[in-house]
Amino acid sequence: MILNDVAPVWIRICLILVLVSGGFLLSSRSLKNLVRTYQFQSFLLVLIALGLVVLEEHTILLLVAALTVVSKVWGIPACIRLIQERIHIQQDLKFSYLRPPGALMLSILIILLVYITFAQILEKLYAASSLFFLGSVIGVSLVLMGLLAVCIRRMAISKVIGYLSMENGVLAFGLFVTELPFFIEFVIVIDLIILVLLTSIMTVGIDSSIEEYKSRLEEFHLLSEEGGIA
Amino acid sequence: MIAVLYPVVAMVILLLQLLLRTHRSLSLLGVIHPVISLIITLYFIVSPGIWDDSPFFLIDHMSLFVMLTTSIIFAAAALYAVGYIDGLVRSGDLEKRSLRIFYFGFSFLLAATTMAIFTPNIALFWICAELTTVLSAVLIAILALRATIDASLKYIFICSTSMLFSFIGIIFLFEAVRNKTGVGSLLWTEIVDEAAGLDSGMVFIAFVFFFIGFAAKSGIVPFHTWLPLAHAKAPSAVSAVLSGAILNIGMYGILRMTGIMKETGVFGQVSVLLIVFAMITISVACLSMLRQKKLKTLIAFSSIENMGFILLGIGIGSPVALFWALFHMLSHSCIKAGLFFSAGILHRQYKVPTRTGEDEIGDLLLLQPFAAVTVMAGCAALIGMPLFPLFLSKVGILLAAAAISVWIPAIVLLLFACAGVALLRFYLPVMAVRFPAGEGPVPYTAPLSMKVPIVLLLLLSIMIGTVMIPGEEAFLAAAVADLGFGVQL
Repeated sequence: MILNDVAPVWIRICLILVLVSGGFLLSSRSLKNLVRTYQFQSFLLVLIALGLVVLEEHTILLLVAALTVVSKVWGIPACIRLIQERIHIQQDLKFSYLRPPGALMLSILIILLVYITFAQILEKLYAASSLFFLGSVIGVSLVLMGLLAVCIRRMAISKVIGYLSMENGVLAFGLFVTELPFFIEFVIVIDLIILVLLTSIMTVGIDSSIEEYKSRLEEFHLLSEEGGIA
Repeated sequence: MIAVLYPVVAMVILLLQLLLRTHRSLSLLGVIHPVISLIITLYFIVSPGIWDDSPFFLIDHMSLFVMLTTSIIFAAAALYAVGYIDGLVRSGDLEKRSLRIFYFGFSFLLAATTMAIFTPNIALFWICAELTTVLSAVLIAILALRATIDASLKYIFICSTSMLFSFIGIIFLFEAVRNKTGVGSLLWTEIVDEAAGLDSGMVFIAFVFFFIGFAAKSGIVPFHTWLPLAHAKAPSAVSAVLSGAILNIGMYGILRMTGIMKETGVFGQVSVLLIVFAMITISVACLSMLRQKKLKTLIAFSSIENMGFILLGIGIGSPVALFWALFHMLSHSCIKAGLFFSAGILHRQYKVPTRTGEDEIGDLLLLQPFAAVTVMAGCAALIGMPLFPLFLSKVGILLAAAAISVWIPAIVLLLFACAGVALLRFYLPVMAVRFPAGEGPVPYTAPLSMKVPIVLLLLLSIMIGTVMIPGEEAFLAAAVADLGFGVQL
């Protein structure tokens, strides 16, 4: 019974923290921190799934939580770290269109816009305090913040993290439609395929000569401004 | 359950491609797969009695029509690839170790496309559509050049990020059905059945999100930026498949979703949304074509223009407009694939564009008379000359558009004129270029396997442009009816 009372609060806190982590992904310049934040964001989704298990007793969500731990909290971050080690990149200092402060301001506007739009459209069906409403607003906001990260980041590897954050937004939303667990599971698989593909494309130059590899890194904006590998 | 042959054949072919080693056997398997798919599809089309209510396949006129287009294009591309890929390997442009990846990716792409078309489940459709993005990206990057990898990355980022929005749309649609019936559904047919009473606000959000992803997949502006790069940089056999088959998958999703919207109270808004995006797409594509100096990029922008035109037909939403939109889809696929094949021959002849970014083509009729004539025929077909099928569909859709506003056909005709000028402005001067004596390249002899599919596609285009094949009209009308748009023509 106590767990049933605590779970909604627990879920709400986690959802807010998910948004905060989305903001951090927009502003962080250290690639290590980017990966850690993504890992933390994914872990928050695990906590939300567990909260929903308590609240709605859909045990299939346990499987989703387990898959998320294996793939997003552990697998994908490990894979990205491996790539980082191979290409010796520590920081992402280049941005297109918007600098982090501007991106953060824009993301606040996005959240407000999504809230107002969804409140108007969904008001007949859901109370503003319902978990589905909150999940949809925060999920879609996170997707848009991830998209912002994909647009403003210039390094391919940071764009990948932006994409994965978008996917976390979809997962955050999908968790509240509890009849769809297999759906979410498939997304994770597709996600992994895309990541493996991107990884292999980015590391394609490793077999080439050093000059050719450098030029390929330049192409993907993986070189620092000074010309050396950052 | 004959439909089960599609995945079974695909699995056998993929397995054999993993086991067999020689180039000849890999390319032969690459041809066999789409040809068998084409035969199965034709068998289905002529035997409506065997379409059963299998829970695993959605066999109706609409899905069979898209599958027919897909298998024709894949079969032609596989045949073309026999000589084309061999040429790339011989010239060192494609590494031998990449051969298996190419053919495996090609067959897997056909399998994923087939499953996307026939799956009755909207979520599985999304997954298969995503798979086609990943596999297409592999094929685009197969030459492992800087430009192809860049194009491939751009394609993945734009399409995959957009497709995530479609996913949100699907969740909203599921939730809308659950709100009405108490049990959510992801089946196309069940959602159509329940569509009439769904909450209008929720289904409109669902449509908008869904549209973003599949508009990106089919190159609709402003989600089109990946397309000119990807189609231009990919090997020509792949460009043909991307333009003639994969873009249609995006349109197929939009068509099915619009069919659901037809039953809801928001069809008016959806129609306006589609028409606005269609007009923007046609405008941007036609005006961009005027600036292009490379043949493949020019053809790629023409694909965007034609996708915009199909979207216009869908947006108008009358049975006649839908009929011609489907007709346009088939015609465009055949013509565009043929044009990319011809462009591939020219690319093999002239290889690298100049530093200014222009194609350095000269002595065209002397060096490549076959490609010169087929490119000319393809350009005439794209402009919408009579005898070619795009003439009929353009007239059909524009007449249907006039019923909404005469300004729509007026503006579109003006834009089509721009596209025509762009094609002529590129091609006519190229025909006149002569290399100084002794400085021209050595003539490239295109193998027969590269020429046959071009001729076949051109003949098919002329045939569907001049005669109504028995049963064709009824079949297309039934496909329109499958979408929920009635049968009266």
